[in-house]
Amino acid sequence: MSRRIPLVASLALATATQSSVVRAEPPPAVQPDDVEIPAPPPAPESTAAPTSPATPATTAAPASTSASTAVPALAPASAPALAPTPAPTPDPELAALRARLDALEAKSPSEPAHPLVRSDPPGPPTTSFDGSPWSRVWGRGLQIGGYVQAQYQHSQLSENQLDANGSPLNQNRLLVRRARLRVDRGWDYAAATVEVDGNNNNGVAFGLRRAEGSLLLRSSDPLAPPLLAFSAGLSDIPFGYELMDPNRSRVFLERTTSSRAFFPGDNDFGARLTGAVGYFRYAVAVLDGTPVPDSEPASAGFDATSEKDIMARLGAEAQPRDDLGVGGGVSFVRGTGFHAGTPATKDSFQWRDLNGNGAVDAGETVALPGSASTPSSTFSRWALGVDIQIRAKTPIGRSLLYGEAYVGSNYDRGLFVADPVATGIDLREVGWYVAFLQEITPYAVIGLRVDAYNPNGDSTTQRAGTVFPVDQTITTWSPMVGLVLPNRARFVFQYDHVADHEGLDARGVPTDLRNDQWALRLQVEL
Amino acid sequence: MSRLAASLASALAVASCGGEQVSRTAALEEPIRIASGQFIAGALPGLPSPSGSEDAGPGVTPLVSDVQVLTNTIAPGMAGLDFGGHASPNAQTVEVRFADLGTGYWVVPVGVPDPSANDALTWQFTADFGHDLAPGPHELLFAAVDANGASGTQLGVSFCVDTPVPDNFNACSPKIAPPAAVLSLTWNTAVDLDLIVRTPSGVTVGGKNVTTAAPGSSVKAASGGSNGVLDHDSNRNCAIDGIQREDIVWQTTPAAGAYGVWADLFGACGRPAVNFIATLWIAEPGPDGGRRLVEQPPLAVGELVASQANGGTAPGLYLGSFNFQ
Repeated sequence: MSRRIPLVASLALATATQSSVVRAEPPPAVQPDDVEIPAPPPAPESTAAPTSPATPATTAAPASTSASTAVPALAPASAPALAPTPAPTPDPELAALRARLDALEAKSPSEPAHPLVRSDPPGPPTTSFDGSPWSRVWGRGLQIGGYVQAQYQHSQLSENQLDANGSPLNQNRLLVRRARLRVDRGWDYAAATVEVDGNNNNGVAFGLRRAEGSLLLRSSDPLAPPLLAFSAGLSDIPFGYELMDPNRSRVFLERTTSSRAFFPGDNDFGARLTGAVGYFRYAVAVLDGTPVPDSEPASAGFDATSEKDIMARLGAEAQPRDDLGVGGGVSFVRGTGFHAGTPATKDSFQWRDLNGNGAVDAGETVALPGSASTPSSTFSRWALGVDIQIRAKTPIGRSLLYGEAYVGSNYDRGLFVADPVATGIDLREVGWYVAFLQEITPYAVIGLRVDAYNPNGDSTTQRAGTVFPVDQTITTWSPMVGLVLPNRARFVFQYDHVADHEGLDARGVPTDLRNDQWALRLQVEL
Repeated sequence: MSRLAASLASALAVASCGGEQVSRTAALEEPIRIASGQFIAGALPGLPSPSGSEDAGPGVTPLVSDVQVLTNTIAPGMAGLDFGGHASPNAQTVEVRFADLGTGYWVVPVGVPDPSANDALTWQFTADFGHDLAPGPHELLFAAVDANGASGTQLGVSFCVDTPVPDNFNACSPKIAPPAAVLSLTWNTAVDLDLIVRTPSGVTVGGKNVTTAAPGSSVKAASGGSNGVLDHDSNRNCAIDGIQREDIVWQTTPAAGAYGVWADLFGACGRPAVNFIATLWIAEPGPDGGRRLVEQPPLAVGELVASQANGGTAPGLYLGSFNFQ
């Protein structure tokens, strides 16, 4: 029989609870340094009675099941008890304690000093449980990592046909959703990151996903985010929580509908000022406003307007108890959208075979005079978001409950692209989601996410000459189950039940389109 | 996995209070397609139109009161035929499908009232038709649905689907005599394939020469009678028209003798290969006493690959010959 005391881990956890850094578990890098110590043999009932007054303290320690309390309790309690003992015949319990102390002393010279251990950067988070993206620790040294996401996806919209542009309508596919390779180099006052991606979402494509240089003012706590980081290049979009939660660690397969509508890509070009002061997290960014989507990376990267998007988030992260962490924030962005003008056209001639007889008859030809070009124009757009996250440790594993709400004006850039110049009205967008994830042992995870997005709060439809308001909200229920090899791989099944108003019933009333989808994804760390 | 997904979908549909679901499909297998409409599988709503409508009365509303379309003859693969008309004032949508073809119907919302038609509601749509429509008469049924989902009397409009082979509309109007013979070449990919025929007198039809008439013949003589005329040059210079067939039509009995036939791949248009069929159609007496075109056994069935494209520098692949007596 033996007991395993995670000495360094418990020290790290004890320190972590005093800081504002939200970590659901100790950094995995320190776990292999746990000390293997034989447990003392059970003390006979007859020897328990005559022990010294210090004995209750020493007997209480092995009985404890909490590693974090056991180790501090052992050293001070046993030292005064051992010193005055002159007895030549060794007490069995005392001998056991001495043996354990010898083991500790033998182990300690080979261990790095405590601050040195803590300055080692933890590995990158591989699940959303592993910590808040707003409490990211910027490591030192060279780190090379990556991951592969391979999946099979199935959609009720799939057809073995081509659309009007000749593109396949089949969506039941085996694909490499993401294959990322990332290199980080961290210095005391600077850091740089390059990340590339390959996928076949829309044909095989490779592209840059992150290329960022940063100047840092690090916190005195090596496991805390920097006090100030100035970054420039292609990097995260500091808005809300879901957008900052990396694709690598997000357990749900993709971001929610509203997040993808507002931000069709995860990264954008610009400059950012981020940091953490105590519990508070802040970020200010100036961005191009052209997020880089996975499916069409070549389409991004050129801002059509000289005005930039200004973005800010103010939030807080706290760990009021060892087993509880909370975080949240408010985000805002204001930017400028672009309405493309049209080029000049030449005179042309059009024939429509109205009666289908294959001959040009009177009334079937139309002259189309040329038209002068029309100028492009810009429009204002903004979005506001509120996010909250609650992390907890439960007897069966870690839990994460989080949610976010958005409102925006003309900010849909990915789904129902807002163009108030074309429509003549400003579009009001509203979105929200609530998600819950639960570990069941470190090797399994279940979750449910509900999200809703309304791309136009003022949408109307016309039937029989009468205008009716119409709800365009798209609500998605996404249950998921997954198997996990901690920090190595996970295999996830997610079903998306999409309830919307994109179809039309026999009365002409908007109704739910049959467009559910599901996917099986295997993600393996590089 | 599919069963699990279906169970999950059912549970989630209940959880999300989901109602009726419809599919977004281009329905390209359907005989009629309406890009602006919603396709719903199943029978057309409403009451069948009573026969002998003289005594049938005005019909049960909501209904489609009239249909306006410029032709009642539909060519297979025809695109962009405009339909319009009126529906009763209590209608919300107009539904349409072929009575004897297809698997469902299309839903089109009605428009604004028409003051010139007693405030009947207007409707319109543009339809495409499948390439594999069965030739002959067909009825297109129209129905209307009100806000409660109720439907009234259907309205049927007769259409005739013409044959793909040029038959002078004989399939729809049997009183019109069909051509005496038609030689057809059809193929399955978007390439520039040419039908070449050499007559007993040594005249070659195809490419730039579109008639079997001897050089120097008058336009009138060259364009009909016993002279075969090429109807069109499909996918000419890879300007893809989607027709992918060429026909040489003899309105009266051709000159006797052996006719040689070639299929010439003028341009592959980026396609790796093409499969083709050459068929001869001969006018024969029908059971009703009239004449109609009857398809003969295929003259040739074959394949050409892109490397055989010659840009018109050679007659192409020899398919065989046939004789007129």
